[in-house]
Amino acid sequence: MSTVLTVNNLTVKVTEKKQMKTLVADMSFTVAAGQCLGILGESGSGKSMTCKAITGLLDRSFHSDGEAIFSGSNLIGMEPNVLRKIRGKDICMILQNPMTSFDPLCRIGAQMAEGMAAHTELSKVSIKERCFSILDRMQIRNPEEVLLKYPHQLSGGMLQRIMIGMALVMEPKLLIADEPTTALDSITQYSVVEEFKKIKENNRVGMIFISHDLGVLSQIADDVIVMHNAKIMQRGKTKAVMTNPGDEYTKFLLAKKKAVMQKFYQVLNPGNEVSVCS
Amino acid sequence: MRYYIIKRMLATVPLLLGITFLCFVFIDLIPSDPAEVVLRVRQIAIITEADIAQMRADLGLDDPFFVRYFRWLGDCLQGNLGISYVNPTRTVVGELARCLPATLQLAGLSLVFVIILSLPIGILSAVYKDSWFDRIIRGIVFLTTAMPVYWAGLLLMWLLAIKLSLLPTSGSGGFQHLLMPAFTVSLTYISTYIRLIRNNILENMKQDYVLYANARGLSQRSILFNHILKNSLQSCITAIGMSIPQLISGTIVVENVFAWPGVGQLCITSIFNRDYPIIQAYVLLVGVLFVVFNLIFDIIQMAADPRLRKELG
Amino acid sequence: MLKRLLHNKMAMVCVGFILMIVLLGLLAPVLAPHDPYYNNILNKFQAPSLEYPLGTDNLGRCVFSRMLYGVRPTLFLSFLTMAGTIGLGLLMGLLAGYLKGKVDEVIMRIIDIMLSFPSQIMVLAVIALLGVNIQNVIIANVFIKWAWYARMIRTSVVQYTDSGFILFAKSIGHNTPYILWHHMLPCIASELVVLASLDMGWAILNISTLSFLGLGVQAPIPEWGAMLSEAKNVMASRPEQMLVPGVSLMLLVAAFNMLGDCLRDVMDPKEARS
Repeated sequence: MSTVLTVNNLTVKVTEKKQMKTLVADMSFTVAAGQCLGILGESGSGKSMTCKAITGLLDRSFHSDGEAIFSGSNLIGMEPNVLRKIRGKDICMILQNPMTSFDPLCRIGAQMAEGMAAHTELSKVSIKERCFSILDRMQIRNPEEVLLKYPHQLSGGMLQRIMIGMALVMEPKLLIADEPTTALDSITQYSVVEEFKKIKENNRVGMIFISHDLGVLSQIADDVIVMHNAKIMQRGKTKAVMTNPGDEYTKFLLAKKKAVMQKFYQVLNPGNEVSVCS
Repeated sequence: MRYYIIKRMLATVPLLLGITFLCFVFIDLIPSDPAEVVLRVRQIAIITEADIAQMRADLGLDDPFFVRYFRWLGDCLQGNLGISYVNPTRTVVGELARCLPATLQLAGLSLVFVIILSLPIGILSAVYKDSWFDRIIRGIVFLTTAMPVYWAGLLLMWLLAIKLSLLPTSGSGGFQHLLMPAFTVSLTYISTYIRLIRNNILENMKQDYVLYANARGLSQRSILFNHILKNSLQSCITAIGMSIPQLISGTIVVENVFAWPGVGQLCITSIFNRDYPIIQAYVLLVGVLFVVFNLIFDIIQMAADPRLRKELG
Repeated sequence: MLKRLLHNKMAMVCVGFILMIVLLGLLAPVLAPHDPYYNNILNKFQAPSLEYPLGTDNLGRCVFSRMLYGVRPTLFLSFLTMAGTIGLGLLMGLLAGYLKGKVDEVIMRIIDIMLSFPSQIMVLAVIALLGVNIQNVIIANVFIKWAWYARMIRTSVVQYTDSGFILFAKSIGHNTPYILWHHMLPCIASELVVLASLDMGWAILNISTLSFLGLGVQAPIPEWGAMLSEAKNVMASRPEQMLVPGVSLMLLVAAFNMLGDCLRDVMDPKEARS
């Protein structure tokens, strides 16, 4: 298992109203090919910031320090144009709000073709074929019709799967999924998580999966990092962290989740005592 | 979509009726008796009661209100807007027709200036936000919106015509005469649209789809031209479209400063001469133009945005 | 919120500038070195000096004195206009928004029609109708502009009518005028103030434009727009006559515009950061 990404001492600060605020403090982790690293934390813990800093999506008011070694080079502080070529090709991202992540005035087919046109030398015909194959792989029917539709005409789940397909077709080395299930209903969440499981079985891509949902992470992540207030609270194999949380914060998260699930089962099955295991 | 267009057009009918009603009431509200005014303005030496009564009958002023209103409306629809009080040999329509082309020329060139100047400057100002270029432009925009239009015109006139003798000071005649007035009219709108376009683009830059486009590694230029601009300009369409009737009606002051023989000048002289039919016709014309353009650009905006089209089915 | 405003340096500068102009206008009889109407042809176009701080105009009148007295029509008329406009607009907007039903329908139709015309044209039309003098200028402006405020206020009122505290006030038996005055007004006050501030600039420009065209304040009453009209006649020989009234107008309107922008930033913290 080769290492795809090594992050050492990543720190991200932002200048807000003449004051420096630390958003990510001294993060270090590695991602191996075929493995999925989960980053767990609530909103504002710094999980999205970490990945945006690595891929260079933060603007000038943010300062990043540290190392993110990918294919032998440090991504932090890399020349923006060079980084841009890596982004979208070797490192692909799947973002949180599929409904708003596409240009509302542009047909889906055109947007799908854009990335390929920017990063490869393929002809228009080949690109169109690839678009069909994406839709086919994601089990979306009537591909000709779908390509001509506008984003608002498709459901959140469909758009999310198209996003995943667009990321995969570039055959990246690293896949970063930033809360891909958050904006979806539970039934669609399930199908999207299944999709990611399939990708993992593939064994060639390194994955970072960011979420605040314990349930989802427990299904997909091999290792997990728990973040709180810009810092790593705990790390380790998913099963280990879920069953034996070391620090207070993780214990708190798990307890809350357990309580919610217990209540949920109680409501569904009144009278039966059900114990919830993670 | 068609259903929406028809519905919208029907909605403007009461509005147009209201406007025409207001214009009609306008004449009715003149403090003095229109018949008497007409006689005085024609400088008839001795005006007797009989003369006034005769004139009232001629003008049909003794009929009930709504009869007069619908008669007037009927006349308008047939293109008869009355006769000038001042010069009975001239019809109102004739006067308007005489002066309208000049105003249209002025408005037309102003629109061209507005589009040519505000688009690139607005875009550059947004893309290079907070650079020295952006700050200077914002400063100029701010001052220009605070400047009285006529003062800007006067300054331009002094600089270009008198000091540098590059252009003629006033009057009409050729393209040279048109340049300064057109630019003066366009100044305020240029400032407004630079601000509008800049804000629109900046708003759009914060949107999720720009983040995702960046995440896919698309170049800044392609994101700007293929995505951001389309979204920004789309919302500017209505604003720019509505500025057409505003430009046409807003030429009044500039026509006065530069002695440009357009409809605005006509209106001002009519006010001084108390030539009410012409004022009424001008107000009516502008009101109708506003409503019509509002309608057209509302529909265009609906058609251009696929999300809105969806809502209409 | 008032505190935030006080901390905003730009806003304070604008307020200070405006207050200074107001003061100059009020104290014109005391501060003006000469009678603004006194003309002496022999003295015309004097350069600025100790006796005539800004020189004299084409009729030998002291420009500085005329500027001071000119604050009154230019600024105070605008204040009056705004007061009338906001008053009428407030009343109509509150009625339409709060009472809803038929009253709302009727008022909204009227507003729609009024808003279909460009303001400048309507003002001219009304002045044409009523004759050319100062009262009519104010009446014309109020007649046109109230619709903007009424619509904006109505929208806000409709928004807030269903909110919790208004319903509560109704339920404990407060009557309509009380609710309107004590509860509704503070909610919409902030948006109102921003709009009013930005509109003051428009009012000032409108009054000065009318005077420039000869349809507002009549000569020989000193008014900044009217002064520019006179300066226009001697543009070729004495271009500097155009400077003082023009620059002053621009600065005054700019101050109001800037104040409006600052107020808007203060009201909406999201915008302040961009």
